[in-house]
Order: sequence, then C-alpha cells, then structure tokens
Amino acid sequence: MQDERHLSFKAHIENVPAACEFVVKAAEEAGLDERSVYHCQLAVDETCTNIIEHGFGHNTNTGQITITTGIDQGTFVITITDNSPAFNPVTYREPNPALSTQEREIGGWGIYFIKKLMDRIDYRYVDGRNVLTLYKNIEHPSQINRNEVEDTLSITKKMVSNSFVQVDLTGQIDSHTSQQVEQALEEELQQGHFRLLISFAHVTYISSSGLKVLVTAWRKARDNKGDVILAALQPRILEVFEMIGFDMMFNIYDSPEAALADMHYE
Amino acid sequence: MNDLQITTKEIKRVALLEVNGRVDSTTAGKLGEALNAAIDDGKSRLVLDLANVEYISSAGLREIVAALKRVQNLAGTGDLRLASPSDRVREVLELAGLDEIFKIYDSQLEAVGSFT
Repeated sequence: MQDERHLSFKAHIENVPAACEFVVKAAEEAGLDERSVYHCQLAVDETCTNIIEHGFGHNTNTGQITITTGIDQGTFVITITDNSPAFNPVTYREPNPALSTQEREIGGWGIYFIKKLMDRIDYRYVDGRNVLTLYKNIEHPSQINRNEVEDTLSITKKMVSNSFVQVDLTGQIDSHTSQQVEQALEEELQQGHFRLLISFAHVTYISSSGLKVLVTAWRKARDNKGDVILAALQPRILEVFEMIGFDMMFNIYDSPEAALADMHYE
Repeated sequence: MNDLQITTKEIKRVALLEVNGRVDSTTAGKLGEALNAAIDDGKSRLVLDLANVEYISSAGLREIVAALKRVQNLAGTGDLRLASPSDRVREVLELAGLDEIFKIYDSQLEAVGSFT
C-alpha cells in the first residue's frame, strides 16, 4: 500500500469532524475527484458515529478508533479499527428481534450510505477489534457500485378480491432488481389494474431505488383512483419506511389478508 | 471549527431557516432544536435553506425528517420544504429517497413562494 497514513483518536463524537478532515485530505491527495472525496467523508463520518454511539454507547473512556488510509492498485483504501464489541456492518441486514428498536437504529441510514457510497467494504474481527475496510476506486470515481451481493428477486402475481392484484416479492430489492419490480408493476398499471397489493413477507432488503419504484407506482395508481397498498413488511423494512416517512403515504397492513379485509376498498 | 449557524426569519407567514455550516452528528441536535423551536412557536410552514450547507450526514437527515413528520401531523397545511441544496447535499437526499418526500426548490424565493 502506498502513501499510508494513520490517525488515532479517542472515541468521542467531537473528534469525528477532525477524523473526516484527515480522510478528506488523504483522499484529495490520492487523486479522487471532489464527489468521491465527499463520499469517503460521509462513509467515515457514518462509520465513526456508529462506532461511538452504538459500539461504545457514548459512555467509555477506553474507546479508541484508528484510521489508516492508503492507495492500493488504483483504489483508495480506508481502514477503520476500533475496540468496541464485535459488529459486522457488511452482513447487517435483518434486525435481531432481541434488540430494542433503539439499538436496531444502528442499521439505519449510516450503514446504508456506507454500502452505497463505497465500491467495496470488508469487515474482519481481529484480536478483539473491529476492522472495517472501505474501498473507493480512483479510476472510476463517478461510479457508485452496487453492493457485492447476489441479485435475487422473484415476483409472482395473482388476482385477489376487491379487484386487487397481489404482487408477492421474494428476495432483495436493490438498484438492479428494483427494475424488475418497476416492470412488474408497470405491466399491471398499463392493463388498467390500479389496485395493487404488494406483499413484502419475503423481502429482506430494499434500497432507495426500490422505494422510488413504489412511490412512482403509488402516484400512478392514485391518479387513476386506485391505490398501491403494502403488506407484511418485516420490522427492518418497516423501519426504513418509517425513517423516511413513507409510512405516512402508504397504507400498510400486517398481512395480505388484513389488507383485503379492509372495508375501505370494497 | 465545527460551527453550525441557523437564522430563523419570518416571511409571509413562512418560517425561513437559513442554515450555515456542517450538519453532522455533533451539530445535528442544533438543527433539530431550531426546527422544533419554530414549530413550537406555532409555525407549520417551514423552509429550510441549505445553500450554505456544505455537508450533511444521516444524523442531519433524521432531524429534517422528524420535523417534517411534526409539521405534517399538525392540522392544516403544514409542510417543511427545502431550498437550494448543493449538488452534494442533493445527492445525499436522493440516496436516502428523500427527494420523493420533500419538495425541493432551487432558490429560497421559490420555496417561500410555493406556500402562497
């Protein structure tokens, strides 16, 4: 690794801006464009904030965070090491029901941003330390790569009561698979099916592109006196909806059966 | 070094909050307080001018969304609208899908005018 730089600081929130500045300087000097530098800054900010607020729970004087930056084969590499309890943001996706809502917020936008903004992220737990490595390509800095996860989504549709079409989704809705969802919903709207019931029972992840597809369909359905209603959202997904206020727009039900039983749609 | 300044003005019965600086986990609380103060003061039409915000993290977004929920829950036509975000701030808003739930205007004038 070239141009390796280190910064160590106490895990206090007041130290995070200086850590961001350290990374910004290194990223600029590594030749990243302004936009990519901003992405690195945001990813480091979100990571350190999560570590301090959730990993250490604000209340420690022994918490230490170390940031190392460098350049490796055309990639700007940021490694963030801390001695808080083991937490793997890479695999973080579904909530642990044993945790309170407050604790689960750890998987909110912060981690989502980190995954979206970086080209690759990698987590290891070594010698009692969390080691998170963030990679940002220098050659193609304008590209926001998707997560390195398998794109699998299956969609089934059926007519149900009250002239609703029920759309069952299974898998992950990310920037790629959201196009499939868009197509599936658009097909129905084109055919004049403006009452759509989407079941999320088997959806484990939704990205902002997926949310946009839902809003677009919702608007079109509403314009045609129909509706797009949602059912069986897992707590993690529901949390995303609530976080960005979508729970105020969509009618959301515990199950498809509960949705269809709602007299409102007679 | 890590200052955030917020000035609240009233224009045509709209509370205009001009935000200046960096909104991150160390300063987001201040933004939340300013928004809450305007709402507690009886204002339900808010414009947040982001022209001088060079940086916002998810901590800041949470405060803005919380304020939007508060004003939308009020009786009448409460709303929180955003004015003149920089390209970077706009990108973060889009990344979080917030460009779908906030009305965003290119200038303060348009944002305030949108309420009338």
